[in-house]
Amino acid sequence: MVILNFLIAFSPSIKKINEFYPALFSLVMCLQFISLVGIWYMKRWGVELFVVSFFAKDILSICMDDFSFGGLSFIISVILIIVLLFYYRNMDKNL
Amino acid sequence: MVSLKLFGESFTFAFKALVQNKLRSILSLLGITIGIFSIIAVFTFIDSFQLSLQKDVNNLGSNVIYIEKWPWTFGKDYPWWKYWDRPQPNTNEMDFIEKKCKSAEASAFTFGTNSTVEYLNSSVDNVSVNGISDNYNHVVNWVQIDKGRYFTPNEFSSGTNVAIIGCDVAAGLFAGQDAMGRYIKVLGRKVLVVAVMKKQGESKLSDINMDVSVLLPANFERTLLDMRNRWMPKVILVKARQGVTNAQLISELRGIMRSVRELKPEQEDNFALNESSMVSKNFTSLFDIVAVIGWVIGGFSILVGGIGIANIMFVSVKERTSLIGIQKSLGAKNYFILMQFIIEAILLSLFGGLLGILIDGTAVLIGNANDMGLVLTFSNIMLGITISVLIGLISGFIPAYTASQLDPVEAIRSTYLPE
Repeated sequence: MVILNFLIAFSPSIKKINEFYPALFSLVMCLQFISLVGIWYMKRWGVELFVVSFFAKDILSICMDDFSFGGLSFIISVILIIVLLFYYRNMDKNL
Repeated sequence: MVSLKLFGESFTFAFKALVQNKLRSILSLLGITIGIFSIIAVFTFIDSFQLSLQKDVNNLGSNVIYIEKWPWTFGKDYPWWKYWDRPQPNTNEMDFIEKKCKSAEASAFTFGTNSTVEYLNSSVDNVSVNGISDNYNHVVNWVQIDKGRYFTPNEFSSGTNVAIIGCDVAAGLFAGQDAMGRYIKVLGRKVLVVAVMKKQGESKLSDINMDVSVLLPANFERTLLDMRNRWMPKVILVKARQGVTNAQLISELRGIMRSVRELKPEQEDNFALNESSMVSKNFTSLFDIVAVIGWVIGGFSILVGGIGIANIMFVSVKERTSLIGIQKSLGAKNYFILMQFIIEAILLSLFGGLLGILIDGTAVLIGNANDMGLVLTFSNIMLGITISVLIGLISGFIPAYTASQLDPVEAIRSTYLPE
């Protein structure tokens, strides 16, 4: 899903919003991918990076006037963050 | 400082690994090269076309309405027979518009035909010979004088035999000699050249090519042509005032034209109100489709290239497992190993991307040598570099992370031997 989103970041429709939006959007997607790898390995940095990338993505979308509050990805991300924070203490602190 | 030193060491390790396996590196970066080339080539083509389209819209005038017999765009069920018998616009209607229209800043009238233009033994065929009224250069932007001057008000009113010629006409007739002050033969009459226009190229929006045009004062050209000819194109051009939208101007012009042509409320308009955006919208939607196709092809190439890089990185980790074990046993931190492999993946992908951009740049140079007017913008170059770096990061992260998590004892014991 993240990989597909990464490819969507370079779509002509995204480029139309702003010249530098694809680069920033794909960077956030990249961070999200790395955070999911961390979460897969039950690492705390994975959760932290996921939260950071979630806010970065939303702030970027708001700045570009492309934000949808009730979007599917928004809801899934919020649910995931709640679940992850619930298990945060049991996760590994190391890299 | 220590971090920088570690980064430098990681970079050196990564670079050496790539150089040691040249053929493998080149083959694995080809996917990224093709992907970046496709995406940036499509974006370059679209951007160049949009720039050119914007130039054409500016020349046609984004706030200019063209009153004509025929509309510029045709729907699916184009009722051409309805337009067939429409009257052509005329100068009386333009005068009426000038008096009544409050939204208009300026208006002009033009009509013309195609003819051969001659000078001594030289001639240029199929030249667009247009009669223009005095405000023509205020309404449209394509009368760009290179040498000479525009017509004087006196020349317009008296219909003097003077002409402004396009650069290709000047080149065809005078072959590098100065055209100013010479008499050329247009529609069987001698006319004095008072100006030569700048080279502007062919318009993508319309069939207007000012390089192969001759402009004459309308009052002069009307003596050379049969103005009753219903097939001769005649156009009234009306430029909107500052702050007036095209929609407002069109609405007012429709009322004025209906009133001057004494159309009853139940009768349809017998004129077309055209604007440049009508044509540019069609082009834009067509190129949106081209952009999506290019992006899909490029996207899949990048995806395949990324998977290729991930695969090569897994092989690379497997090959160097015992080396990783030794590094870790000597005190190398996890992040050092992680960085080493990530940098290797990013370098691999970046080289691929740069190669793709280089091919794009070469294609642009070749295209421009053939007058295609392509522009490889800085933002597209940056986009290509960003995609490459991020694809490298995504493809290389899992192998690099796997390498960083290896147990030193298990890693040293590894017996993988490359060919």
